[in-house]
Amino acid sequence: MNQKLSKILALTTALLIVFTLAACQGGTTTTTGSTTGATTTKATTTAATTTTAPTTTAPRDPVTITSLHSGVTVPVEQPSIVLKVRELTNINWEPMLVGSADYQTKLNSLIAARDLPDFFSFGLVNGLEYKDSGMLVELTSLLADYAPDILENRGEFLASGLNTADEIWGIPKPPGYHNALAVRTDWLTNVGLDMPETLDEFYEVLKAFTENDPNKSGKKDTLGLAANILYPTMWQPVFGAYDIAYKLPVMVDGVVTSHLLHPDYLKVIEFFRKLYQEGLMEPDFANMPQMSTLEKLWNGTYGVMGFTPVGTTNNWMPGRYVESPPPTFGWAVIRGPEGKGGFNKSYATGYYGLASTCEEPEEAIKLANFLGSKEGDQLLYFGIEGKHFKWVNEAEGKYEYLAPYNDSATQRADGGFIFWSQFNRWNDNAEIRTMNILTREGLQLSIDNPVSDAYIYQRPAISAELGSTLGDIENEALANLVVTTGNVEEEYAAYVQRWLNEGGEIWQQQATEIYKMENP
Amino acid sequence: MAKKMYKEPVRRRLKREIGAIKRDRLLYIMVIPGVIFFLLFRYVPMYGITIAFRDYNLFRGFSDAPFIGMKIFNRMFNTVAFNRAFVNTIIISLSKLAWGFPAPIILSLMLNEVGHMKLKKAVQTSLLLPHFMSWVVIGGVLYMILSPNSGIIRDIAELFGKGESVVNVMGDKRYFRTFLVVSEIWKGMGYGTIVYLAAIAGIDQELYEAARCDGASKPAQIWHVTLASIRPMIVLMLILRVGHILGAGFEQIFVLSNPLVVEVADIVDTYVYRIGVEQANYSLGTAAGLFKSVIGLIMVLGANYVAKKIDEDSGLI
Amino acid sequence: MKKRPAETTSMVINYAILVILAITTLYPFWHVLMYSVSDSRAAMSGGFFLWPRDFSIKAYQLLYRTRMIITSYGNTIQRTVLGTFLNLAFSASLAYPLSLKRFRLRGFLTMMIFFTMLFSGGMIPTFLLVRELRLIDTPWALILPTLVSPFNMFIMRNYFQSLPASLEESASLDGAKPLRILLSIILPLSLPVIAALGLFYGIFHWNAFFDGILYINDPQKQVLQVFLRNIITVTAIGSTTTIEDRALGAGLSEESMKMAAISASIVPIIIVYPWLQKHFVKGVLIGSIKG
Repeated sequence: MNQKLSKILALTTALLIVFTLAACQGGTTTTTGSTTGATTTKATTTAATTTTAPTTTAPRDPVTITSLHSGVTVPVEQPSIVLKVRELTNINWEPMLVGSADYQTKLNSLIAARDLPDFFSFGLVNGLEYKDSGMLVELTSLLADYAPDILENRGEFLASGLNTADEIWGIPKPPGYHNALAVRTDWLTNVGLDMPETLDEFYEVLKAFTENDPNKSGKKDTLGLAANILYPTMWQPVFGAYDIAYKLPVMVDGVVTSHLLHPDYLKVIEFFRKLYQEGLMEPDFANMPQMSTLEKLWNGTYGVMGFTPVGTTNNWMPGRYVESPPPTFGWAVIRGPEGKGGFNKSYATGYYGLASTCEEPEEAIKLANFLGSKEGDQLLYFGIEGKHFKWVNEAEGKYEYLAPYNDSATQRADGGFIFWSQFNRWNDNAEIRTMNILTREGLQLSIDNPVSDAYIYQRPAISAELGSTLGDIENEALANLVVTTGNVEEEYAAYVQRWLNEGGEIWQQQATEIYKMENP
Repeated sequence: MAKKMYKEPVRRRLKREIGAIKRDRLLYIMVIPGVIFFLLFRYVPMYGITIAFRDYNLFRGFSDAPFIGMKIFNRMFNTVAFNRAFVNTIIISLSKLAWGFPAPIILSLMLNEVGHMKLKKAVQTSLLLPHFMSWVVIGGVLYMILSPNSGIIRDIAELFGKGESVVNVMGDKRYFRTFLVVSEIWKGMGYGTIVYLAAIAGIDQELYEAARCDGASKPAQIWHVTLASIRPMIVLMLILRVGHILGAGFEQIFVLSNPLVVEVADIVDTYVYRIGVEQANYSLGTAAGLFKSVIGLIMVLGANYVAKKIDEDSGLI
Repeated sequence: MKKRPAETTSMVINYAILVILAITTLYPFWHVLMYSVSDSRAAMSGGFFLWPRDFSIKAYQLLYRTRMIITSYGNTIQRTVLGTFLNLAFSASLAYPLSLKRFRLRGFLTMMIFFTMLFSGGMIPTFLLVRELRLIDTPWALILPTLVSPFNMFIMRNYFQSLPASLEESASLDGAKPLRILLSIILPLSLPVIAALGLFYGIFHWNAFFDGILYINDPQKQVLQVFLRNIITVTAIGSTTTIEDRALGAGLSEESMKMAAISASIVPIIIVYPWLQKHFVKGVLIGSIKG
């Protein structure tokens, strides 16, 4: 026993000594690739000179610019795309990656330490606070001097929300992609129905999709409408049929208020209740994990889903779909009794800004401009032409990834895509240019059929105190009203009262004032 | 027999104390590294608690954070949502305490009776597993089992012809709290047995011998030897546990809560999270945390007092 | 030895309950494990998982593709071994004196340490302190701030208190120094609690990710859980119309890769635990030392 014990002790002590020594060697330097970056730059510039020192007009040492990105990939140590950017701009770009769930936490810790990354992203609410605390650099003159591509690309949308015509505090990131209503056309053929255009037709289609074995499997394994309380896009099309902008501010009798208080709200609830009671929509919509909903689309359970086409028919097609051959989709616009119908407009709510602690703002903006140019945008999205991908038909946006980068995880590990989402261009970026036709059609249909809203760019002051309270009451109302077996009108009135009492009344007031100010 | 209180003159008392300390000086030196740790990493950062009373901005830092007194607390206590969350927190926390505290103890007693070593190891390892999986994962698995429409439980119910009457435990206000308590016990009891098993392992075997000689039955042995010996540990764990009375399980509720049950499941921590989620509202979070800690401290001191009344040697402090 | 019939039935019931419980706790992990070695598409058709569907280790291949995962494994092992040893040493150095009645600072220190269990300055001040001490991007940032857990230390103290006082007293009267008493008498008798706390501290280090996010910037020095967490967590908040969130839903990490990540982080624990578990066997040591 004693021998064994002393052996174990000796081994443990040895391990500990090794580890302690290893631990003590880790210093605080965090420069990961600056030296290699610099040498490649120097290597490309020296041409004729062989032995002696560089001539008097030596290029200045590349400046280090950092940016904080949110993403879930594990990049390799020296992503070749990053190296390429450094080469082309002569700036030592050092992007940092944090898991998206922790982005804000990491950013906050860096802010508290006054150790900000030069570029970082934020929403309107945080942006206003950062601006007031002096954390951001005002960009008008810098953009004018060094960022022609960004100016040209953002155009008139530059001055909105956080920015005014004279003061640019953050560069707006593209608005989210529009929502669309995807309907399985292969199922439509099997049940002998056309693309629905009214609420009644929509009901018929959902009924057929649930009960008439649209996938010809002989089993009752399909469901009409995909629904999940955490995905607003799945509810929005029915609200759109009554011209209610779901989850956006709406105008009711001259007051800017929540969609909850719209006079036709209960009519929408009625429709969903009918679907719920007849089993034509996902019954677990309130407590189902998000991933399960997507899985049910991919494995062919759902026939109709409201979601951005960029997912349904572009990114997920065909790889995520289990069925073979993969499903075919079409787009629907459902119109209500007054002939209205459509999808929410999309507003830019994200920005990226330059930290006031940045020591080289000119260089930083130059870098941002390159990354926001057509060339940079393409480089960040696809990678290096000839290495990561090649064009099959550039005019039509057809491309092909080259092995081993045709595996998306490998491509991202080498720097593809993961840094693109911060600097990318509006409308005219690599992703949009290469979307398939069906997807572009879906997006266009959505853009052509907007629902009215009373959007305000600024936030009512009371929002800071309320957090997501009002939104949560809205969710509670929707979920409970759809499933309740009690008196719907009474319960609805109670939810409206709660909304008003828990801050909604003040919110309405402030929002209406802001709206009048923004729309004179 | 009355003991006469002999009051020692102060100076002699002091000399005695110093003598005692000198004799055991190595003991006092032994604690120095640990004390330095606590001073440095726990007490130095405590100035952060003052954020609860200040208008704090991350970038401007502490030097530029004006003092605003109890404003944050007042605002917090006055909202309907907070009051609802507070009530839920008490109810859920007490339920979890009442059912969840004894569970690992009983389980460790049961495990202790298993003689078959391989089985014991296998069972113990298996019971430990849910603790290591986050609620995100467990939540997904629970949904897969308990969904009344697409879950395993539906398939089982249909075998008995009762397919339609399966209750949606995860989405029904009436059953959700029970679901929270049961699922948390299930997830954590394996891990909870470790402390008690370690304590049981240290029991002198002769005590069992003596009890057997006295003719004690198995249940009697368990009661008078095992439980009695680990009683100090049980008391300690209980006292420590009540300190967290206002923390009713953030991660679990954050993952499992949904609009159908939020009325009965929203707790202080999830409420604070939702308020601060858009803007990093450290002041509010710190204020809520401070509130929880103060209540917890009162609970611990109370529990400790009661424990000491019953048995001088037990308790925490 | 005659066994009463009541005893046998209760034993059978005991075994039965335990086994059933063990099966229920095993299933979720089994489900995850089977999913991780199934073909991603086949796995998605939902339902029970008893065996892999279309066996495939592609998920693990994807997971271990970049060298970074290997480096992070090394970082985590380093912090776990070094950290746990220091945790136990410092905890014992506090627990032992606090377990002795004659220690004059007993009440004071107990209260002081307990106070930190409930009251803390928070994430930002601690972060600033770690930064001030220049520990960022070193393993010490992961070890020092959590050097002693009051909870664990009190458990150790309680366990020491439960040992017969006579042992310690007689050794001390014989002139032995506290350190020697601790090392040669107390600790050998305390193997169960050391195994338990070693497990607690070890698991803490193994699963820790938040300090990695805060204190480590250099990906080379990052810990395993930070990488795995990114793969496992699907953001529940927010819509999927912004580009970043869309990237998450659109295939950045396969569901089976997620399951592989979970399995990868649990399997080492399953390997270590049974080895430690033998120390929880009753009374082996007290008896032998006493004799």
